[in-house]
Amino acid sequence: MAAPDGGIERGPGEGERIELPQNWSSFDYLGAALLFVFLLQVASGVLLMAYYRPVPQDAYASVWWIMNEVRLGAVVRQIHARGTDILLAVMAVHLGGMLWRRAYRWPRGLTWIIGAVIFTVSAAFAFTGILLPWNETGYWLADATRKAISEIPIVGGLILQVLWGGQEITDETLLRFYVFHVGILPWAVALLISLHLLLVWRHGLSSERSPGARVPLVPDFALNVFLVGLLSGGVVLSAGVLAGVPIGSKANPLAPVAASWVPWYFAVVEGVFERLPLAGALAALSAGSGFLLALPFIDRAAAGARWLGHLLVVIGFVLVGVFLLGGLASLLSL
Amino acid sequence: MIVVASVFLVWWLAEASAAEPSSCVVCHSDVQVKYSASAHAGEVTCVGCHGGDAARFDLEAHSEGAGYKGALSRVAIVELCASCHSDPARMRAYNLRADQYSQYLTSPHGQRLFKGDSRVAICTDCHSTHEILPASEPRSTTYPSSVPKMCAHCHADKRLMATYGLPADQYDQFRKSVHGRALEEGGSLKSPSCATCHGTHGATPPQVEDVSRVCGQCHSRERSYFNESPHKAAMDALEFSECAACHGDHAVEEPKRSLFNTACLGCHEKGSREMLAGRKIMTLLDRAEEALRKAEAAAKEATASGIDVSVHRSRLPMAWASLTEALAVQHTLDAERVEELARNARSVGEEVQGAVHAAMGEKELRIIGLLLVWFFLLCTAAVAYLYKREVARERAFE
Repeated sequence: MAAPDGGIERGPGEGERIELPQNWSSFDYLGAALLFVFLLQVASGVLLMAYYRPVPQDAYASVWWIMNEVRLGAVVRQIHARGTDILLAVMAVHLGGMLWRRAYRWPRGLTWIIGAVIFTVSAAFAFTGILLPWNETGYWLADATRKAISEIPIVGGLILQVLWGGQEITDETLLRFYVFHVGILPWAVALLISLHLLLVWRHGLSSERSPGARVPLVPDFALNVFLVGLLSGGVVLSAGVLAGVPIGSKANPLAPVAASWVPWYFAVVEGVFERLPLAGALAALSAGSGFLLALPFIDRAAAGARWLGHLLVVIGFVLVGVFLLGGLASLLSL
Repeated sequence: MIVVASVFLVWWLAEASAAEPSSCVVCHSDVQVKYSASAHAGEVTCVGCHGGDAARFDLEAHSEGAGYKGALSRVAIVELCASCHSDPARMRAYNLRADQYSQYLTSPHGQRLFKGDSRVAICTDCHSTHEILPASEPRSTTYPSSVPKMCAHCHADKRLMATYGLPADQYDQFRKSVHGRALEEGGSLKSPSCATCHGTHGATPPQVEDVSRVCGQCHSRERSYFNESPHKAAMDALEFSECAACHGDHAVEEPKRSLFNTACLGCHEKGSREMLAGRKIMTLLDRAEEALRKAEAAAKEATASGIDVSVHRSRLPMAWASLTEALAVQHTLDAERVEELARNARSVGEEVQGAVHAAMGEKELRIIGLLLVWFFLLCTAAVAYLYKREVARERAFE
């Protein structure tokens, strides 16, 4: 029987013939591409774990070893590093596409919310990874963040105690970031992705609103997803081989660097903290992410006014645009 | 009781404070502002220089009876400053020298002043009058990076210099020179100002035979190598000003290898044995520098593409040191000594280039691997696409 709102349909007869709406657009494949890039991140990450040592006195040397002595080590590490850039950029575009499609509307509201959470958790995932090589850029980024968090009243100290393992960057910090990076966040993201996909499965793709022509999952859809997988694998591999990620100098806690490096996907966050006082910056960031998370509810509340619905989409696009363009600007100014 | 205490308090507080009141500042408050920021503040009073009676609040304070001297003549200013500054016992507490006046008397400035020429520089022309600051103070007129401009105040004045038959373009030349740019633009206090070569209070142009000594105060290795060279005796005999003969004086430029093509021709004929010897040294230095620059560039490129070549790169500083030594040794004109150092630098540079390129070769290999992967991916994609088309065709038949 037909699933509500154009969902996945189990055909009669064989009982197992699964059909999907025919007219998925390229936006749907971005989601599939993201899944493949995530799987590549897991695979390359596991390979790196074989040589990486999460203690300050060995971390930098072990990454140096990976880059220079391990066979194809540099390629694997660069795939892992550039994979993050690609993952977050494509995620933002995917989010923009779904915004355009109004895919946040119920019954897909929960799918949207989980997607937004995956986006935030992925940024945290990337953040914990930056410290691991224990080089200057990673160390001073973690230190600048530590300073910003320590200024948050009441909970600042507690946050640092939990995430940094103390009020300063120590051996504990590196170990904790490592634990989050390889022990907690991968499971969290995997769980969230599973829920996200389960809900997509349940509610169907948003491109199909009315029952129309349908195609079987196997081979048509599966083959397309397979092609997307090949393409995204090729793109990430090319980025890893062509765009080098030098490890820089080993972190020296006694010699702060003048301007700490910030990855492009945190350029906007940094800009907000730089330009606004702490309370204002926290409020702006909470408002931005809160808007994305609560969008399905706001949209339902504003169901009466058509113009309000359009306004919500515009606000969402501005947020995605600021994230991507701000990141691009920070890349170009380097 | 309270009344008694209050009266006592008023009586106690009514006493004049110990600070001496000065009537000078009543009218000359602008001068006081400058003075109170100067090194003399609290040490030398108005009356100490100008005389008069600072306790009087009427025009009698300026009277001759009160010892008022007013604005002093230029000779009197020099003597007044010297009355304290040439007294070693008095200067000891401030860790200041006491030979400025005696030095001044040896300089053309001092000699002309006491012959009646009041246009020459006196103490206050360089140190200012009321706002005198130590030379270590960046706001001071005698702070090293301010010295050239300060000297130029008179020495760039064409009309004034013409009366002494002196050129007035030294400052223009100096500020374009390697020294001037380092001092005024780069803010390097290691770079010489006018005073470093000409002296301060005893300022005078270095004599021909002193030029290499003056330059050698900083460029000591170049000077000692030059003294070993056949140029030394020849230049002394012809009264050439050694270093300046090739490098120039105020307009001294960063030494370029092209000097071999220009400076040598001043004395030696084209195609002569000496010119050929010079050309050999030039070639040795050129090749060594080129090899090191290429090695640096290759190492930088490799690092930017994520390949660590620090092991090879770490050899370069020693090679640069070798070349730097060769640059000094060239002043001996001994081609063999230059060759030993330059060849060492060059061979390290070439070895590092080779090692870096070998490491970069791995990147090329990776790109070939990437192309193979893409070929495989595209083939797989093509097969998948054909299969899909086949399925669609079969479905159409059904």
